[in-house]
Amino acid sequence: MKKSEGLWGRLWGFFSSLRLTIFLLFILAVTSISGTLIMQRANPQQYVKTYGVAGYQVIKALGLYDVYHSWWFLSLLALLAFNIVVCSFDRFPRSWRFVREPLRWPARGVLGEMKPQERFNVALSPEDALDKIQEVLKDKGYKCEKKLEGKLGRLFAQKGVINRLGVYVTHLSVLIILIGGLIGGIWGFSGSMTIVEGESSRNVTIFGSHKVVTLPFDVRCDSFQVAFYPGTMTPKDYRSTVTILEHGKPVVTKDVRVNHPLKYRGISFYQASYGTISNRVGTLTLEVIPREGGDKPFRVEAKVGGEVSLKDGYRLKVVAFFPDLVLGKDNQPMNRSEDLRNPAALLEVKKDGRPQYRSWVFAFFPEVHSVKDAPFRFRYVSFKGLQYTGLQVSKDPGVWVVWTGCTLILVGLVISFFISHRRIWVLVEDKGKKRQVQVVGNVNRNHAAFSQHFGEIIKEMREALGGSQ
Amino acid sequence: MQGLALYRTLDTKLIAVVIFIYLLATVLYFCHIPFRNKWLGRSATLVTLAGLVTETASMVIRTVISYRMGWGHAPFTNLYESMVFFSWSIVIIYLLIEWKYKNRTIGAFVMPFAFIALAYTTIGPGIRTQIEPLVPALQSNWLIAHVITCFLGYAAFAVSCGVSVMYLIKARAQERGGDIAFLPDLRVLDDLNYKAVMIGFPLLTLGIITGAAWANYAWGSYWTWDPKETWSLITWLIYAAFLHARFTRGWRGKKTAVLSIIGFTAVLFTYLGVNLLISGLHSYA
Repeated sequence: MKKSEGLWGRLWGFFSSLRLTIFLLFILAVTSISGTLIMQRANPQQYVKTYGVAGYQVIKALGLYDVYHSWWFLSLLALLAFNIVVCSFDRFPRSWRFVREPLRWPARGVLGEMKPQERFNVALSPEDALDKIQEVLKDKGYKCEKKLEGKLGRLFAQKGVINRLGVYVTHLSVLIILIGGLIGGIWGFSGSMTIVEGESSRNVTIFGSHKVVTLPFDVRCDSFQVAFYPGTMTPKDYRSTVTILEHGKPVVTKDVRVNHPLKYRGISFYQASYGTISNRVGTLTLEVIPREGGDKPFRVEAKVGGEVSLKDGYRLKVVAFFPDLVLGKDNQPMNRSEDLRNPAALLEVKKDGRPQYRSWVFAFFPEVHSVKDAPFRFRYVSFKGLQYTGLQVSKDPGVWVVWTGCTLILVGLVISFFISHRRIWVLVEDKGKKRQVQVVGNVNRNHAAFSQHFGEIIKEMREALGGSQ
Repeated sequence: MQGLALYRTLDTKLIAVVIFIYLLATVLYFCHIPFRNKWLGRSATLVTLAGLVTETASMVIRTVISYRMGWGHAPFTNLYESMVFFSWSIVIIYLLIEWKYKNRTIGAFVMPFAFIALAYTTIGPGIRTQIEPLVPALQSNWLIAHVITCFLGYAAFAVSCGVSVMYLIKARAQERGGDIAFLPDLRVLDDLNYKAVMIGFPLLTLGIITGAAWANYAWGSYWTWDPKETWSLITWLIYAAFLHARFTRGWRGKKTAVLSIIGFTAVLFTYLGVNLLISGLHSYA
């Protein structure tokens, strides 16, 4: 890092300093804690209730109700990004030189001071000796270059030079992830839509606001179902059957389940919530018991207000359904609540389109039958009210940018942590009476492992050269 | 029927045994420090290995039982199961380091973490040991990748914390003019601290990424600033600061040892503190 004078130089020095990086990492870590302790994106009333009016004023002034989107938090992130960019510009040229113009033939004086190094004598000529040494190094994965300068033979070998670039890959990928987040923040949205079974909608309510996004197509909920693990109250599956309609025509039908979203035209639909909108309408399941001596009992399902065929031309109509039946004035049946606390249904049996008789069924009083000796008696099995499904809807055009960044960050970390740049210089000099080999090694990290590796290389070289003299 | 009942809780009975095995291993590693007896050291390693094998068997049996019950999932789905896997990861990472660096002293400072994690499953509040069916959100293949990477990362950080504690004890003794000869050289400890963080950091990064990918499938967003997510990021930032301080600013020794301990405190808060004190998407474990 060169120390340049003037304002520009000092600014550059400030933004390219690691002291700033470490400071920013710490500040981001510490300030992030606040958002996990203070409720985020709650109503003003909730803050006043928990922290008092004065507390709420502070929270409002500092943006602590939405820390991670506050101006100061985003500024810290932007500053970190800027710091990364400046640092990379500051340091990249030096690292790139290792790749573009490696130090192949340093002065002998420079080599003499480096560690580790080893000298030994050989019988072979410099040329032959270098050939053998090159084989050893190539076996170890080194890239080699040789040259002969009269009586002096030189060899340069290196591997893992990519380690010099790993740090830039890692830092670039952090920037890519931040850019991906920014893209999602600007051009994406995230909200929810509530659709009653059988109905469709195209309106998405954005989270944390009252804004509504209108989709360019309709989403219909065909049905919603919850499945439980047998004998437990643990839900096993939430499933909405959803159909996408373009200009009123169905194009896609898919089951949306947790962990199995539906994706259509860049917009994803996730199973998020559900509920019962009404227990007055829905589907009633009944057990039908034919008159004694007749057939075996069987089950039918009918919508409230709808009809279902029974047997021998008989049809059943569900005239009315009461989730919580009580008797009001003049013994009029009425609902006390929407909950299934005393379910009852009024049924009508028809034959050839003409009503034959009416009958009540009560979930909790199965033995009460208003009609004796009828061709069919009925028992309540279950009732599923009209459900709605809550889908989370999100569009995030930046998500692939984020995944690219995530992949690159892992690549970058592996390159910088588990690869080291290893260089080896060999000089073989013909000194008339004797021929001397000088091997010098250098590594940019993990010196202990390298000196062990260097020792092994020397051993193998000496074996390959047929022992020393 | 009695046989079946025994079989159904065999995995937790084995864990009860492993708790004592790890306690024994901790004691043996401690005894090995002053006596420097070869056989004491070897038996400490053997006992640890036996514990690891038993613990592995317990996890396999638990998976088998879960399949027999018709639920069929890997044992990574609640606090109890994650604690067992946490201690397993610590032991695995520790044994690898012992094998690579031929130093058993570290065991005395790392094995207590494995023991405490397991002992906590029997005394901790609200820890259920039953095998439970998976709620829809947990029915994902990302679960396994996410849990394995996170906990191996946590285990590496546990090792770096243990080593840092050793460093600070030895450094303090040397400052007072004495020494604790049985503790490894300060340079070795400093180097081990750094190496453990270098193993833990990529694993934590991968753990956060797999968690984000999973969240994107399950909840429709890869990052929602849920407290668990935020705390994992805080942990990540602290270790990122550690690496920058060490790599390029040349921080060594005491400073990085303290950073390492702060980092592991953040790990523990991410793992346990968030569940105990703050509610969020990870409320099950």
